[in-house]
Amino acid sequence: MSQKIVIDARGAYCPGPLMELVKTIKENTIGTVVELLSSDEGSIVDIPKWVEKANHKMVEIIEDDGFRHFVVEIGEKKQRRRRR
Amino acid sequence: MVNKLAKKLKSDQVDISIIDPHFNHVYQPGFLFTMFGRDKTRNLIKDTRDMIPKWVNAVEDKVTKVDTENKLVHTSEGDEVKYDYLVLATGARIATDTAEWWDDSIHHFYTPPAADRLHEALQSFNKGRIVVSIADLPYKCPPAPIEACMLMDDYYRKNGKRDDIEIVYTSPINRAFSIETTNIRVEEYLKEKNIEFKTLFNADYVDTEEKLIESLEGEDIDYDLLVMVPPHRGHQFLIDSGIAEGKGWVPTDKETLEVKGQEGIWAMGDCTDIPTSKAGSTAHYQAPVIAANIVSAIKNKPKNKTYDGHVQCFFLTEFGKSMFIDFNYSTPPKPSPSRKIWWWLKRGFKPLYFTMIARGRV
Ligand SMILES: Cc1cc2nc3c(=O)[nH]c(=O)nc-3n(C[C@H](O)[C@H](O)[C@H](O)COP(=O)(O)OP(=O)(O)OC[C@H]3O[C@@H](n4cnc5c(N)ncnc54)[C@H](O)[C@@H]3O)c2cc1C
Repeated sequence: MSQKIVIDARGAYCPGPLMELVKTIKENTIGTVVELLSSDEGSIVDIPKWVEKANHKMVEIIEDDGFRHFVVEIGEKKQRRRRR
Repeated sequence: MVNKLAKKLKSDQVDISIIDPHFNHVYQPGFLFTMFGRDKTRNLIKDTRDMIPKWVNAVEDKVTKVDTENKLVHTSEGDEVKYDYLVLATGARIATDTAEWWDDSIHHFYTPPAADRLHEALQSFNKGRIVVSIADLPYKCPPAPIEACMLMDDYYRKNGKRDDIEIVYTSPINRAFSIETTNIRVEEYLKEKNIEFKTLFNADYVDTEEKLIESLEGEDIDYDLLVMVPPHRGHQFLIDSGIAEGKGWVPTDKETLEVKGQEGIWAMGDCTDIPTSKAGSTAHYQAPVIAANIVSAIKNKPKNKTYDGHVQCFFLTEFGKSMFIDFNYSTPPKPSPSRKIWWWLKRGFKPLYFTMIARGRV
């Protein structure tokens, strides 16, 4: 684990905590740990689903006072399958 | 912002300057109409100087650097403007240059000429698959790409081509629209209108020769016409001035709207990194907070006004109907079903915007 980035997305409904996470993961590299704070109820479903589909690792989900910490480690990003 | 400040202060007390390289004030929600030929670009643009008091100093120039230590704004003409208080409201830059695969065959509706060009493309499109996708996050007006899909559906139904045209929307998250309460209705409308939506699809690469989009999640989609929300960035001078990093969004306290790590600087609208919608209504509700706090700072009083995350948006579902959403940091929206009344309010909003809202009267 090289570094940890904390995103405070509490109170974010739109564009939403998942979008904040995707944005951060897109900008960083494999092994980086991202901790997302979210008070949005939908995150408990959205975040693990996207993390799995996009090949990253859900390290832990910590319950806090009215929000959750989602700790994600960036995995290998899927290879582009360019046809040319 | 200038109007809200000018209302609270007198010309013999303060100097207010507004610096902009051009004083074309563009009503961007109108792009959703010009792209379908339902409005003209020239009707969306007014001169900012006609909307502010005459005593405000309008400097037609581009900011190239902010010297935060000496409280000076440098411009491209080589001028220096001294400030005690500074408000950054430079919006988002449409940054197609940051996607190495972007070329002119990819359409969008985020600038006046792009929306006009898209109108021509939609008019001459007769058969095949239109994909509406998102190049990067964040972007202005989160409902806009879904509104574009639903209006396309109506446009092609009305001109009799809909049976030969497939409309596909790709969503970066696991539902069509980010706010769950609103999404329930949005997905119903998309299904009703036979608009396919692919979720968890974050566009990563477009092969414009093969007409194929690939996602970060490892999927791809073919298209005949691609309409893509372009990448957005903050402005370079903000990075050069040490105010912002990375993509250039200004680190801003989401309640006080003060720029983090700076003294006497506030930020509002699309240029901030606040986790809420990049929308005109966001800026509208932020302006009075900043104005009140600047006045308090001038009078050596505590700066106690805060922004609660208030955003309001129309959400067009067809030509003639719209939803309306209203939310803040603590209360998610409870959208009404799509209604004619909201459509008429949206249609009437542009004149209201230019005569009342932009002039700080409401
Ligand atoms: C298709 C579309 C539909 C939309 N629909 C809605 C809607 O229904 N409701 C809603 O609330 N919002 C909507 N929006 C979003 C809304 O238009 C923006 O959020 C709003 O314009 C943001 O205002 P702003 O002042 O932050 O930025 P802008 O309006 O972009 O203004 C930024 C200003 O900064 C100036 N500037 C830039 N760089 C410099 C520099 N270096 N020096 C000096 N000046 C500079 C620019 O010239 C410009 O005048 C929509 C946007 C689009 C594209």
